Amino acid sequence: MNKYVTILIVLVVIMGAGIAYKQFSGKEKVALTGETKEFTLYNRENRWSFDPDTITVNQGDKVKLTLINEDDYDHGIAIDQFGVSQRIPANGTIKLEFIASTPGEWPYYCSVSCNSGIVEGKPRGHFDQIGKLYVKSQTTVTPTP
Amino acid sequence: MHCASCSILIDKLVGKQPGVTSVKTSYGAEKTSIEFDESKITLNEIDAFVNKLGYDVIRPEEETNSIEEEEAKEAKIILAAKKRVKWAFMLAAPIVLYYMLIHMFNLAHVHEFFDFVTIAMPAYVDNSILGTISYIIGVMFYLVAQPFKWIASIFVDVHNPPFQLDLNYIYWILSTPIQFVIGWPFYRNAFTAIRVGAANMDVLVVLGTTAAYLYSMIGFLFFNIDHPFWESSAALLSFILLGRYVEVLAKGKASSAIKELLKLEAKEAHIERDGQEITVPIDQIKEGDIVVVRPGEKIPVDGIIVEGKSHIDEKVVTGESFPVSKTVNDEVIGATINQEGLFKFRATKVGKNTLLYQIIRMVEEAQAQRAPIQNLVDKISEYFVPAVVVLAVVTFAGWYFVGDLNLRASLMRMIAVLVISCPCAMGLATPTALVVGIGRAAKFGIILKGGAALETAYRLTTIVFDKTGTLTIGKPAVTDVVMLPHAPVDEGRAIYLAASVEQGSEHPLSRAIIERGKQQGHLGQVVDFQAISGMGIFGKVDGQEVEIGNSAYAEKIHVETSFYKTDLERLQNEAKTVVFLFVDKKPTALIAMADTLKPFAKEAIAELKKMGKEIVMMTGDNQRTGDAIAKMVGIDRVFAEVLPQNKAEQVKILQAEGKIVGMVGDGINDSPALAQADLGIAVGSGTDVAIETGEIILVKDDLRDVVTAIQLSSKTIKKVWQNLFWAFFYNVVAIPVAAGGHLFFTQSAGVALPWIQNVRDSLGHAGQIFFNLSQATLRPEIAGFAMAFSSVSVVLNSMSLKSYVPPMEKTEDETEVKEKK
Repeated sequence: MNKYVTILIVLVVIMGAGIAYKQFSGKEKVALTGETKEFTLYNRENRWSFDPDTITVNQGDKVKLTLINEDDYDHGIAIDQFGVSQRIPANGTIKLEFIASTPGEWPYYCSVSCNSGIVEGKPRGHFDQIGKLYVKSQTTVTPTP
Repeated sequence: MHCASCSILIDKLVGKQPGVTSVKTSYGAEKTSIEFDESKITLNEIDAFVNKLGYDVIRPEEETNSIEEEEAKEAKIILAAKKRVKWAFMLAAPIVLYYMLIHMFNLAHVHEFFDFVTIAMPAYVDNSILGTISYIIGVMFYLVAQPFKWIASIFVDVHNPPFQLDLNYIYWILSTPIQFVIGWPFYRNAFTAIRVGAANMDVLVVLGTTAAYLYSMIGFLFFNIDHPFWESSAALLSFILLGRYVEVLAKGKASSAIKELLKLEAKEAHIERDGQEITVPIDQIKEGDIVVVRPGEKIPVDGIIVEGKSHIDEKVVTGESFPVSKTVNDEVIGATINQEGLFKFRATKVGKNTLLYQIIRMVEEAQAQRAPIQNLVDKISEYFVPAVVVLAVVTFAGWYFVGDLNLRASLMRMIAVLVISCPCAMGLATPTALVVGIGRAAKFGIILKGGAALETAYRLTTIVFDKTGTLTIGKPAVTDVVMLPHAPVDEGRAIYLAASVEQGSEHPLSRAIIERGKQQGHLGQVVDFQAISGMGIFGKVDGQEVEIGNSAYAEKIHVETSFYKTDLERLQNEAKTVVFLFVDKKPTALIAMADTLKPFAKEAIAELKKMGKEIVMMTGDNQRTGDAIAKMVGIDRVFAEVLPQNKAEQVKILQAEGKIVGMVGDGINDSPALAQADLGIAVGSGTDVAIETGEIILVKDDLRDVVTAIQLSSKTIKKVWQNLFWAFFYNVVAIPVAAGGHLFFTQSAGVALPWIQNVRDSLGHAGQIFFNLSQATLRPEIAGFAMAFSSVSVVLNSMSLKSYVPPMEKTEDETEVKEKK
């Protein structure tokens, strides 16, 4: 049999299994809280940090972020869990939003290489530019049937 | 045909047609042979069908391309490949350098044109290794920006630009032609491969680069993504094109052997018609025509001499380097050269029936039937592509359905898997090793035509040597001079007299004696020279009567033969030709002549035997001569009395025994066998046709190079495998990272696991870097490092081949090669 037919069948099986799992696993679907939490995060000039570097929301909240880059070079923001990965252009502002669907402590980090330097006498750079998004578990909300 | 899958496609689809019983297509030779039942399908229907598949059929009889046209076509292919590489690198260089340097050494992204040109000279703050490198690259970028700044400032105020220009637009513009114009052949080949159900390297390349390109374009235009993968597809395509170009250069075209054969043919012939001699083009000669051949002319067709006699140089056909004496009723072969006499012959075989054409046909058939050797990367891709596709979809399904990731995040991980799975160094793995291997071989006087030769050479189990011209020099030489009792002169004088008198003779064997005489000094004048046809010669040198003749001559002059009988028999058993020398009518010496072994033939055979190869000798000579030479050189198996037409048959017999056969030969008569063998090795002193047919050419005529070639190929192929390992290794390791698999081991609900935290705390700043990479999905830094490390490992690994010195080579041989250059 043609290799590609086999591959196609395998792929259909995988997708089918995935859909079936989702349908019958009995996992609770996330209920939206209907609340919108808005934050503004700053990349202060040559600080290699997000200001503020912690955010707390509830599971099911809609999160709206405004990111302001005060540097002459690009930064980025990525929150892997929620599929966020955006560029914050030099001296630019971006807005983005997502549903905080999974509880946990999710790092948000700069995803565009941005060099390093000395901040308050200590070396600091791209790899230090990291913050944390706390998503509190939804215990009070009743699951939708 | 444009790729190896084409031949499979043609075979498969044509084979399914009713009435077609067998079909065999060769990609290398661009030939297909189809057996079919004419009552069920006509030739025109097959033509039409193949046309529908997108290929042109050129039937053998309508092949009108001249040699020049063919050569021009090949030159054009090489030129086109070169152009492709040039453009790909020109367009890709800015993208690749920019992104790879920035990602690997953590420099600031400046993605706006005017911001880029106005970047400030970086300050040197971090004196760690990484910090120093990023400082140096920062300075480099600064320097690159300056000319743009000057030019741009002519038109606009660069510090207060009137508009913004995102560099991504430039990268998009640069990478689009690479992807779709320069990279078009990848799409075409991949499409053909998919049609036949094969997954080759092109499919993998198309999969990986298209994913990268579309992700970058759509992401940049619509989603403001943080890091497009422009550099991934640009670098990949450029490197692979470079590899292909190198391969085209290194590959000898299979078709050129045929071209060389056709070049051999005489263009015109003089024939006698109605008592008049007229000159006609060769294709107008009919069977039975009387053809006149003058000294120095090529014999146009095969036939039988009816008048006159001559010595004919048959080297081009038989490989024998001394001319053969021919007279009435002897056969002559087309394309051989008449050396001296004028003679007439009756044409017996003309047109496509001549021996030359038979050989051409045999070469063609052998080439068409030889199974193409699949590229190693293609072989890997056969399994790798399905695995990657399945893995990519598993990644998506896993994150989306089970891992509760949203659609965008799941898709991104799937794309990351596709992108990372196509290693950039894959395209370099084979060509770099081949180029270094082929270059190294050339240094030792071995020309390797393409990777297929290397690929086969080290797997050979049996090596067949042609005798005359390959193992032996192909010219008789004096091997023994046996002085008889009561000889009137001493040995030196005997040789002097014999060589002097032989100057009057035209016989091929006389050359050997003259050579021997010249070695010890000047020769004397010969007077009263007389040749007794078929028996011997007579002459006077310095007043002494000298006679040289064969045993018939000796009997004729009634010499008592008993007292040298033992010597004579011994020499004859060694397959030597013996002549008698008489001085002043007294038996003086026996002079034995034989074809002599080439220097180092013995050593080469011994070494090959040590490597466990079976050695076979093939010769047109009789069993006794064959055995004698075989014994001298140390060969156990001899195929004697093999007609030129049957040499390929003999190779086939060995192949049927399950052996992988290498053939070493030099003559045109060896060409079909060279083509039939799994590997043809042509000796450099041989004919052009043999050289064109062979995949390995030994320029130095030193048989030890067969050993070197085999050793070097096995080393090169090992390098290719190692390279492929390094090429795929980094990327295969990166695949689980791209799929986000590492997150299972590094974090739980977003919180880094304790071991990760420990590592971070114990490693300082590097620990922080590790921590961040461990918590994120596939970062371009990782992808960049995978790309760079695999490419560098591959190139360095290939370079290490340069240190190879064949154990059999001596330093004097190396200097010899240098002198020749």
